[in-house]
Amino acid sequence: MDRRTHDRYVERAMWPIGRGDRFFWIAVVVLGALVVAGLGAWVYQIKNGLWVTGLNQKVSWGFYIINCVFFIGMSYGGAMTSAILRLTNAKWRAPLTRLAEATAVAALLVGAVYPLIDMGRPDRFFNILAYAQVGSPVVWDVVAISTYMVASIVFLYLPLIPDLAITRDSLHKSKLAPIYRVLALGWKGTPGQERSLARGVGIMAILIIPLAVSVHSVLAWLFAVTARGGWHSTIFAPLFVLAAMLSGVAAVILVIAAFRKVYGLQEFITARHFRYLSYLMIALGAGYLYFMVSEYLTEGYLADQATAPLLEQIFVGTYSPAFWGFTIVGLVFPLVLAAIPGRYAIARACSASLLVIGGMWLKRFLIVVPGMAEPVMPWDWGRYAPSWVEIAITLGSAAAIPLILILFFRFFPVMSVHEMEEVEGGAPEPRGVVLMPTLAEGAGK
Amino acid sequence: MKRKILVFAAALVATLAFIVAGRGLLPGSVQLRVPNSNTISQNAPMPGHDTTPQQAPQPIVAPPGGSRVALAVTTGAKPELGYIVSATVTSPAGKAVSEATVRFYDVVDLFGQREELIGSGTTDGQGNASISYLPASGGTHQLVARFAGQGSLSASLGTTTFEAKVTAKPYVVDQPPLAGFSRAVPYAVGLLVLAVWGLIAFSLFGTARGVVATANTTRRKGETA
Repeated sequence: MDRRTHDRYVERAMWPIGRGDRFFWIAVVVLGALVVAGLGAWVYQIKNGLWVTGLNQKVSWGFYIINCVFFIGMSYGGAMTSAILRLTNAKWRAPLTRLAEATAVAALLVGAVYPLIDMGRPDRFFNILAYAQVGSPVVWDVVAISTYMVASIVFLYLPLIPDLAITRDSLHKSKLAPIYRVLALGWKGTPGQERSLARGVGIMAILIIPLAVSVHSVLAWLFAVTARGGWHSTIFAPLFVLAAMLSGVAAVILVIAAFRKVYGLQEFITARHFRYLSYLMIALGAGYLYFMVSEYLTEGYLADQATAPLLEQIFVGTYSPAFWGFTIVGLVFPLVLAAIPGRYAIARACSASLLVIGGMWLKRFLIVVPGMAEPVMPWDWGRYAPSWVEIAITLGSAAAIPLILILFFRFFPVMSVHEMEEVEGGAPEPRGVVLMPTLAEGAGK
Repeated sequence: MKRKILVFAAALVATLAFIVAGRGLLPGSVQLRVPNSNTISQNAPMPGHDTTPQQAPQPIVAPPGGSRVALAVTTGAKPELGYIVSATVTSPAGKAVSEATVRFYDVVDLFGQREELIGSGTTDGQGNASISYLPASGGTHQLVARFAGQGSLSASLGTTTFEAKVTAKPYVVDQPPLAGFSRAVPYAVGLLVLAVWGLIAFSLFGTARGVVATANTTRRKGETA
């Protein structure tokens, strides 16, 4: 690779670091205000108790659990996209992986806070650890989410090391240079360092997939191991995993489109990338549709005493606008929109992603709230309407994801220059697909 | 290094202070004030769960002037089947009372002294009623036989104590079919989680070690050259 190409990559990946134009500050102030409003609402809830929410005796899970499942699912999609593209050695991944991995961490940081918010008394979180019951799905969740969080951060950090070295060398006069120097671990791009890095990234790319699957399976079992209509389903875990991947890929598309536009990455991230990601989203969406039909068909055909009233409420009752809105506008239409060949691939991919994200949130609502509202004894159906506190916290957390990403990419390169060079042939390509040879190489050293 | 330690110590103190201060701010930890009642501390015992020392057991005394119940315990023909607990009900005039229902109780200590019903019987023409009783535990047992009254006869009771040497075999609940499997699962999952954490640590620290070691080697070579 020639020097000019390398410099071009470095210039595009580094230019936002330490800079902030008017749009940057507007975005930070607006998103920051939403986050502060959300935090304020949470403090208000802590001081006054959970009665300030719309949660009640019958419907004790609402926006918080929906958001927890939704944001952690979004994180899963980001991590999976990056891991799968690395393992399959897809060359087009190079400008996308950093954004996908950062989206995964940002969404996970936000999603993991929701169980604390839902507890009402966050200080009692330590009781889960101190008095852990191994038979409790809540403990499974704590173990799975904390493991996945550490793995996601490591998966973001390891491929960042060579780029941190580039940042260290490019910004050697910056006040942050000592931090970059420490984080870069003395990277010089020697063959030995490349081998070590390839081994570490290879392990993490393989590990992150079962970890992400386990996290979402455990979240699904939180519902499925209870004897409630609509929840006690064997298909729930794979359904949750697929839903997470679908909403995650949609989120990655939106994040990539936004940073491409704002950071001027059109040269590197093209319509082709959006088409490929759209194909991935279509495949996942079709799979999800199949699982959903399979779930409702088997439950509806049997019309069990516990599930029949629930299905009635979902298909033709109180929740039917949400269900049909999700199915048609949030699932089928976006997949068709993304599948149509022709012009405006990026705009169509973004529109479809936006609809899919909205639809998948609605689907989580349809899982959590009607399942809770359905009486297990001959009582009335429960009712749930979120209070301003829940809405403020939800908006604040949704704003926190882009805010975290904007702030992160103000200090770290938005694209992986190292991977871009690998793809172009400037750096030795690590054997990400085959783990064992890389392990063997590491062991033989 | 000293500065890092100071920063770390300050962060630790701030976190602890936040936790301690936060506990005071939280609604559940304040005292609850119920209108027209005394202040209830959160740590106060729940109604019915009095933690004060138990009062001494009340003596079981028969009401005066009523019928009489005499109670006796004998060993049966087959001791392994338990003891014969017999009660004889007589009127104040000393005549046997027939067709009277007698309930037999063992005085047990279960959250305080209580009478546990162990059986009941109907008196015959001699005023005798008996049951077979195999206690769950050995040692001294206090038994009570209660006659609730019949016609003009008022209620009465009789008590006795006896030393139980033969007891019932403990009832063993059958293990559920998957009990052994269920017990093993947490350990297996725990090992799996540890293995995953080990792999993450290996991946991070192995890479860091490899990168730093190579960087140091390169630096030393450069210095030598």
